[in-house]
Amino acid sequence: MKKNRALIVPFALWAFIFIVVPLLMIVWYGVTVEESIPYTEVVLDDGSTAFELEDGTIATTRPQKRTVVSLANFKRMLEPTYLKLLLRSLKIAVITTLICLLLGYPVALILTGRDFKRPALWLMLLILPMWMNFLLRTYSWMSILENSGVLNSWISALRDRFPAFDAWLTGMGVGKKIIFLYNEKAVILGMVYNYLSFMIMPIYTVIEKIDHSLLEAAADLGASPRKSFLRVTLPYSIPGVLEGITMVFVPAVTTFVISQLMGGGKVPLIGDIIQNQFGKSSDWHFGSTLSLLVMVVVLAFMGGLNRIDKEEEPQKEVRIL
Amino acid sequence: MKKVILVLAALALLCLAPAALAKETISVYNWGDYIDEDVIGQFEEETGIDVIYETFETNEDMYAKIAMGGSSYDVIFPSDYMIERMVQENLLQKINWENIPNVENIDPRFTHESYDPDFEYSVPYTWGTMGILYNTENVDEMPTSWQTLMDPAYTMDMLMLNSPRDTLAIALVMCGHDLNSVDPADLADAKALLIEQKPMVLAYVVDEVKDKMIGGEASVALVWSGDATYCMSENEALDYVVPEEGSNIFYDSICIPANAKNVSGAEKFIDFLCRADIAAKNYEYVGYAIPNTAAIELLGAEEYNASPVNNPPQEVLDKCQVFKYLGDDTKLYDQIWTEIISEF
Repeated sequence: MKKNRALIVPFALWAFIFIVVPLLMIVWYGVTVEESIPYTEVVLDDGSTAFELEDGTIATTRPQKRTVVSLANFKRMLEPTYLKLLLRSLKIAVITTLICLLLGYPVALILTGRDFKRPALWLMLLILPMWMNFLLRTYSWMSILENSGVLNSWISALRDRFPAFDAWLTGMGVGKKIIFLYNEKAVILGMVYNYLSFMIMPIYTVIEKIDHSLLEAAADLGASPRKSFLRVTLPYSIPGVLEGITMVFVPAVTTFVISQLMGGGKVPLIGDIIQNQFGKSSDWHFGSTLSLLVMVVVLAFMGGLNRIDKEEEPQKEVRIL
Repeated sequence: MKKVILVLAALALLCLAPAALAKETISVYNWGDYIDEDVIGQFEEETGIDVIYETFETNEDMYAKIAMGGSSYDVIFPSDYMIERMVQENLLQKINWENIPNVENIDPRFTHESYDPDFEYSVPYTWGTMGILYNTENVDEMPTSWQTLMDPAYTMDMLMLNSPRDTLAIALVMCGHDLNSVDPADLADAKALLIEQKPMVLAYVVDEVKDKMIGGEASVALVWSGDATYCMSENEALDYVVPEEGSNIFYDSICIPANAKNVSGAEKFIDFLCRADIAAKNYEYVGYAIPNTAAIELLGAEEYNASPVNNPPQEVLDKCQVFKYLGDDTKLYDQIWTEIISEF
């Protein structure tokens, strides 16, 4: 037993240094603000400049900022601007997760089908793109969807070739170039594309492990394929679905690159605003406060999922019996 | 025989290693892709000083690293407003001009700016402006005013910068205010203008502006002159102009941090960068306008000045201002910018 416990030391150290400490730093930054010390510049008798503080003391070097504990940033965070951005991020993340689920579940189901040949190859093809950096993949979507992109040049080539098609599009009120990018839909597309495999994988893994004799038994006892799916496959796959939802929802709610690239900065999400605080606006304190807000939202979401997971378990037993 | 050679080689290494370790070094912290790397090799060859070279992406990244302490650099390349901030926070040291004779190459038009009024802390390395990059295939006449960015003719055909300070500065100029204004009333005007403009803007971009303008995604864009140079070299239909109302002029300068370890080495490096042939070589690689008169002569003044990026009219340049360090008011800018882009 003792030996086993020693094995955990490296990980515990790692977790402490790279997870716990940074987290505490974010909390500290989140509940503090930087304050300038008010002063006036004065010229001393010997001609040198000095700095007079409010209480009358004279300093020879310029007074620096001080960090004070304050909830000012929490107050700022609750302004409508930021709440609106958070709500939009949640909305887009929920839509993305739903689309991924609707697309991913059938794919996982088909891949695990008995008569489906070479599932490993197909799975590989699904995962292969994920070996490429997601920035590259997003950039290629941009060059497909841009006004001067691949899709638009195909459409205009078709228009030149078939005047009837051109007339029909013009009649529909479609301009010479169709603007696909720079809106919410483009951001959602970018996210679904990037996160879809995170939904498929866990569902696939869970469905694949379902004991096939259960399905055979269901069929023997006269259940239709629909019924055996609803009463065997579906309940058994719930843990995979929940994991898939988490794997998609959490990155979707915090992303900032996809919204900048696909949304052209016109669909800012809460992640973009946080990134600004650590970059251009150089306000680590407010950035940390916003990060805490997002963390609470994500935790609440995971807590909710966990409860569903626990409620599901006993039902599963009953259904199998 | 082999053994003897091996032993000799080992001995030689043992003798040389301490000498190599004792070699003088300086550590340089510059923007990414902002120097011709050959220049570093040439400096090492000529002076025998080893250069440890590191790069950063933004002023704020660089500032964070210097201000947190821990790392020590001998030469850094901050921009104007960041120099002002670092001087205020005692992070830079005064430069001893006696050790930098080549400073006489620097055009006095580009020194004594508000961030370093007594020309004590910084040597300008490159400078640039903000202006309009436009595609001559779709824009018939050269835009002369910032009002071009409010022209409905370019609806969904213009790109703005996704950067609070830069875009708000231009909006302030358009409203006739000072581009460093922190007066809430001025900023409210600028905000109203940008919200009015928003439906016409195709996208708010940062680095993507280059690819998009080169690819013909939009007809006009607000850009920094450095990006304009690059775009114009890739797509001949593009041209650049600094509107007559004036604009922001920026400097990336060379400074010595207060905690530098090898000040004399740093001085040698700065002097080297101010040398005409070296500045010319860097210009050819980096492409930003330079304040080095001797280097411009070496490059051929006529050719150099033919570029609208290098040579905006003096009366426009007179109306250009550097950014001041905003201090606590940075927050105000951020807040207003967030309100603008989250308007939906």
